[in-house]
Amino acid sequence: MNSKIIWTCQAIAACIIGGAGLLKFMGNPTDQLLFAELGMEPFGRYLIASLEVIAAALLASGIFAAPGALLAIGTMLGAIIAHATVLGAEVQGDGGLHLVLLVTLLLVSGPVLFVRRRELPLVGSTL
Amino acid sequence: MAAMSIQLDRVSRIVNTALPSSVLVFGALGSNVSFYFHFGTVTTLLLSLLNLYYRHGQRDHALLRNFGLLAQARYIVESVGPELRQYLFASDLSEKPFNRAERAEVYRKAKGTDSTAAFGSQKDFDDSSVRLLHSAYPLDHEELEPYELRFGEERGCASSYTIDKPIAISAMSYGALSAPAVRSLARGAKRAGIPMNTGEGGYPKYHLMEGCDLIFQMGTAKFGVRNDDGSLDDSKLAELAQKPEVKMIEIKFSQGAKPGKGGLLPKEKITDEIAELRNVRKGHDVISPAHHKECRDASSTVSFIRRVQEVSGLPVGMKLCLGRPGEFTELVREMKRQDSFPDYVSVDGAEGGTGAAPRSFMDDVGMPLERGLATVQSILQDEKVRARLKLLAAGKLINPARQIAAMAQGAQAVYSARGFLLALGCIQALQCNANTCPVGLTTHDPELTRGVDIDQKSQRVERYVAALMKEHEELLASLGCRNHAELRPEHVWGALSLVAPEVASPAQIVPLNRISQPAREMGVRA
Repeated sequence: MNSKIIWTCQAIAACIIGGAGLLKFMGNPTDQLLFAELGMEPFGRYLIASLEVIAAALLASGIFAAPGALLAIGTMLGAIIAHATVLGAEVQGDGGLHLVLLVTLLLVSGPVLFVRRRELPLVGSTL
Repeated sequence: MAAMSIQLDRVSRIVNTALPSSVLVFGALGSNVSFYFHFGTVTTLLLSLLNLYYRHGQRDHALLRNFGLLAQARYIVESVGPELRQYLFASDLSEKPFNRAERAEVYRKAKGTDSTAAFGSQKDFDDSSVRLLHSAYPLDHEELEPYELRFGEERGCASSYTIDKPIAISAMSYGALSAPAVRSLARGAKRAGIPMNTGEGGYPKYHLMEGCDLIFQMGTAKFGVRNDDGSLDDSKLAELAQKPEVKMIEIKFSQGAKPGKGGLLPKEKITDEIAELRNVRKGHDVISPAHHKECRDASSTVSFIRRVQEVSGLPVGMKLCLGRPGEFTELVREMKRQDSFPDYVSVDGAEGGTGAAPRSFMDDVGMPLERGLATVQSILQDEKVRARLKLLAAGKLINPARQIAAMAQGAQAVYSARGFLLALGCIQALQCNANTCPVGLTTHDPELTRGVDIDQKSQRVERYVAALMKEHEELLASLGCRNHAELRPEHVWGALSLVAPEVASPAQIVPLNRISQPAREMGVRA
């Protein structure tokens, strides 16, 4: 796949997940509410925020984009589970924007992980 | 080792079942106890998907296809192996029969990846092994000539057989190997344009499926062409020789890994189909007789070879591991007396491989290839019959340099079996005799053979042959030889002293350890 497309996907993914992580760190009221609903406030919020910021940094780094994409997909799967089991599709009357961002993140991280799968540490050579 | 492999099998089954189950368990805990458990849900979900891909998606790695994620540990450990071994464990050159460096070379050639190495050789240059001597005036690639060898031309055989690469897949039967392994090799041989020896395992049902050129091997038990009393059934042989794929017949007199002893197929590996193809009973080890019923001395042996030539109408060779040179000299003199020669002699070194053999035979009986080959060549030359037959060599000839060295010592083509098994993905688990081969090559357990993807593996065989041939050409150019026929013992350092003492004239006998280093380097025939 064209490397420009992959870099664009990486940039979009890094922006979405990095922004989400920073918002959580800064104590965004919506996030506080969501994590309270999940019973993870505040420790879980900081934990997830850390993972998201790390994923964004890895995605932006280029050489570590594959593990970054995997981490992003992992955190997004967790978020989707949260929406599916506890939060529901709409959060604080956002019309489903939060969920759309999650799915977008999955859609841009997936191709990055697929194209760069051989760069994954330990398992890359078998993929 | 066998017990370990069974445990690996069981543990992998547990892991393969436990992974998807744990997704459900973590999911339930995450929903009912604490959302933190969903970290486990996501992790096990991703691992389950990876495991699913390993078991049912990819076809490159038989070990992963058979054992799933658990086998990944091998690749992970292998990836950090050089560092671990360098500081903690064995060196890359310490494993037997093939060290990691030798195996890695085949793997890389078979996968078509870069097979160059860096920094310098890891071999022990103080040992006495054979090495090639390059020319001060190497040739350009354009000066090289194509290889061709025609079997049967010496006696004007109507069905002579010509090969255009000096490499053949050595004898491995269905029984010793699994059906997909045999078919992968046969398809690979077809793609690479080289012949494959069927081994002595009877009617070559799976070898025939892929349409490659075959050398039918007749062992002492004569599986596939025998009468009930173990003697040769001429009509069955004639019928088999009619098949267009069968180009030559090879009579196996002895094998390097168990010279003086018949073939051995452990009972664990005898399925209904193998019992039928070999006409033997299940539940018992199949041990071939130590000799052909028809061959009790030199005279009867030569007569028997002639009979096989006449019945089959094809070029006929004999495979042997050299024992006492005097007996071979006597055999050659009998050939002269009867004016009847095999079309080729294949010399198998004592270091040759096997699916199963007693340790003492493997380790301590028979002449190693370098010495055996040089001795056979010397006897044929001394008896002035070298031009009456072709000479082949086998025994750990998995890399181009060893193959070229054998050809410099008189061989006109080489056989390799284990080189091609490594090309198929053999990891040298040393379980060929136990029906538990983890990569599915020497087992008939369907759970294990499912890992062998015939098309994908046959590509590796093709690439391995192509890479070998490329390096043959480079070595020939480096030695200053336009073709393989120009190779001579003087192209090999240390070869001059390899003829067995019983045969060599006193002038030729110079034990390597008694030659001074400068004299050896100058190639002095002391």
